[in-house]
Amino acid sequence: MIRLILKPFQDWGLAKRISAGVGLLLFILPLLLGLFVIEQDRKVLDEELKKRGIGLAERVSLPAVDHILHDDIWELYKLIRDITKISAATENIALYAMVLDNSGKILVHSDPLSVKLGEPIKDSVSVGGSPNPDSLLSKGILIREIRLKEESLYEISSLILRGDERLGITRIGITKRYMEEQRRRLRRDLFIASFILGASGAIVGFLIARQMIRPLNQLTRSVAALGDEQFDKDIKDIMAPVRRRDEVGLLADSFNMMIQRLKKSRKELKESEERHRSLWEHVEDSMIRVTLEKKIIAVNRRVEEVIGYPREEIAGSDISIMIPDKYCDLFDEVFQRTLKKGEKAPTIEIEVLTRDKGLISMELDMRGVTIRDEVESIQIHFRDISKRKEIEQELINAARFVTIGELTTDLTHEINNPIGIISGFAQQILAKMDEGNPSYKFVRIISEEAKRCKNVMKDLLAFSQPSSFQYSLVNPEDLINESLEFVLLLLHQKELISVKKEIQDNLPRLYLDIPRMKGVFLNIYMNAVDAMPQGGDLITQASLDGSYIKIAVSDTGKGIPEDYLDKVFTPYLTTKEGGSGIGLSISKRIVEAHNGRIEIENRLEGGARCLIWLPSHEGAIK
Amino acid sequence: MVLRGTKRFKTASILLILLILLIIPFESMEAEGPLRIAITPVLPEGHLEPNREMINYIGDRIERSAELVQRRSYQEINDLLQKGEVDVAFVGGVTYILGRDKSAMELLVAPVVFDESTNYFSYLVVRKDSPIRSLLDLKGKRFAFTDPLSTSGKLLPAYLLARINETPETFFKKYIYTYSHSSSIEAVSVGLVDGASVDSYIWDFLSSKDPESVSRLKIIERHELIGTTPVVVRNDIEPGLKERLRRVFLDMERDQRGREILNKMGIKRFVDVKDSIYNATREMFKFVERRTDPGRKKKR
Repeated sequence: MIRLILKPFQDWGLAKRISAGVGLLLFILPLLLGLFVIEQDRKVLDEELKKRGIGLAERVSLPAVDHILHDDIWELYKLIRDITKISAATENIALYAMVLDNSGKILVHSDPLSVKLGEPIKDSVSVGGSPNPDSLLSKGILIREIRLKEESLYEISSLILRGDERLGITRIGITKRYMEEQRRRLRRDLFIASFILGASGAIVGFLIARQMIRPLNQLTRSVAALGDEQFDKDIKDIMAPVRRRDEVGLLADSFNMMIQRLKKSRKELKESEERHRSLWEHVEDSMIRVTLEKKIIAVNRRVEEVIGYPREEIAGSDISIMIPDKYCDLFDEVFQRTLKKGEKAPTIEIEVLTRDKGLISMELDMRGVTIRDEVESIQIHFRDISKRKEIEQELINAARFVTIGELTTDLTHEINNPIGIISGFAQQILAKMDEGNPSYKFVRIISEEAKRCKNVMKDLLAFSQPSSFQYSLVNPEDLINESLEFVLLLLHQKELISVKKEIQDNLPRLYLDIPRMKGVFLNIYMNAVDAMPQGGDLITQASLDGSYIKIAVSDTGKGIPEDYLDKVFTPYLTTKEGGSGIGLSISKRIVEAHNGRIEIENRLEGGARCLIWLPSHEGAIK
Repeated sequence: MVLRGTKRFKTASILLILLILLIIPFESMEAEGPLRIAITPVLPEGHLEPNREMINYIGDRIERSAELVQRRSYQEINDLLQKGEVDVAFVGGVTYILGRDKSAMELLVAPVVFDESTNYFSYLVVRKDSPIRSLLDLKGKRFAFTDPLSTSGKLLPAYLLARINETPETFFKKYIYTYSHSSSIEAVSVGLVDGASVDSYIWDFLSSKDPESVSRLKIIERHELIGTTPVVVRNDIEPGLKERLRRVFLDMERDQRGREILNKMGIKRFVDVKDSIYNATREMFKFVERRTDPGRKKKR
């Protein structure tokens, strides 16, 4: 209730409110006090009025004795006329006055025309007319309250006595009007006085409050002026210029101290922000921060570069403009999960729609940005994996090609031999068989078909023969690094694998078919990584071993079972689930095609090691 | 030495002061004493200043201090004259004839107030809204006389009533004495009485000086009277003083100050009159006395 009343004043300034409060207080308090006193005074005034009425009545009654005795009506009239005239000159409290004789007849009246003179008055207090007027007038005075023409008045009756003899009654009507008017006037004066007091209180209060508040306003102005550029100024220029020793002064001091601290922490914050911005801007991932409603808040430089939207253009847009329809459900699901848990959702791979409607394969991570345990926004990391995808595809193609070629060669050899035998024996049978023999025709068909089969195989071999080796010079370290790079691109949990390299300086270059040899290393590396599902060290060592360069790839996995060690290069034999078992056999053939050697052993400290010797360029030439 | 000198000075001072205190009363006393002039409040209250001016004027003219003696009724003034307590008095016609019968006073002068004669009127007045049109209509009503010894205010209406075999007691429901014509006018105005008989001189005076006071009244009957209210002197007054006083009154209109006072009082001038002009009054008085119950108790 009070709040409701005070509500409109809450927008007022402090000075105004203090002024209003003081004014109201100074207005209401004396007013209430005064009204209380006036009310208390009412009875006193009332008694005073009655006393004055009695006084007037007695001023009539005493001299009236003589006039009644002498039947001097004129003097009697003058007496009451003078009484009403006297009171008229001052406050006119006597509305009327009359003198009655002992029989209640009106002898005189201040307004003779208003009554019938000489007739008995018709009311209960007239002598003889009332139930017991003598008791009412026991002390010679009777006061009763009557109403006359809407006006409340006291009628004072006073006995006219000559010794014990009663000669008549004086009756005077005393109006309360003047008493009430006086009270009204008092109240009005009080109101005016209170108002003046309140108004001056309000003005003085306002002036004092304003005086007190002026430094506060100065402070406010100082604070309001504290823009970015202000903070770059000297600290002395931005401190509030308040020199006082009171509470306001203390406030100003605290404020100035706060400014100093603020300036310091602002500086720190700015630096931290710059560091953060640098990180944000220069990280390789495209990063987008969106609101919980998927509206883009911020993007980093990579978004502009990769997805093609300038940040001014994309800000405020819905993230879905860069998500193709087919990924929407997936994206939403991950988004919702992130939203709910505020933690990192699993990485997904989707395609992203660029500004010029192209599609880029990207790996996408989402993380809720929580501020005080509330998810405030979502940060989305887009990692461009199109290159990796390309390489992956390329490798798969290469591997497939190599594998098919090698496989065909293998098969051709396997099939050629039995077919050669079939063909040879068929030739021998035909040479010994008579042409008339009924079987001759069939054997000849066998022989011809076997020959045709051989031709087919030959053709197939010719077709599937891996393309002739393309030799070129390569630095062993580059070869290893590039191969490793592929491997790392393919790794899903690369953080588990610790890649270590011990490569001797100034190794001679190698002269070899780079794609094929990369395939070999890839094969070996993948085997090593597969051997370490819980993670471990992937160690590559390279050193000169005579005219060979020895490259060792070690893992810290569980190693190779002893009874498999001598069969690792046998085709179609594998311990890996899902493996074809031909990877190492093909690798062996490729290495040997380069006049190299490949061995696999278990390491003493655990894990397996693959050793490859490849002739150095110099060695190869020899 | 010093002490004795101071004591002597003190004694001398005290003696001097005592001497001064003794001399002062004697200095203020006059050898003859002041001339005492009695007046009933003929003029209405609030208009008494000319009376005082007149007394002062007379005192100045006869080179004696004059003292105003005011009484409410003619009877009181009559008594004062008889006892020799006043020297000069303004009285009414009836007062004069009664006073002269008792050898209490001698006629000095009389004022001219109406036309150029010493006649005047008695007006019978009622309120304007009253249905009363004559004295006869006032039967059973309330009436105001002025003074029991007033000619216009009492004798005339009493005479009129006596002529129809009525007395105030039988004719009126109630009658009162106001002892002044202006009071009678007021008594009718406020309604204390229904009618009154007043002196035309006062009526005219009020009509011109205070029209408000007569505004509610109308005159229903006018009765001419012979012999205005006279100025009398004590019977045993020293003839020289009487003559000097007579001259002062007669000469009043001849000087500026006197004229101003006369003007204020509504009097044209004072003239010599003979006792015989009051014979008509005597006749009326006797007529009323004959008709009135001899046993009636006289009002003051």
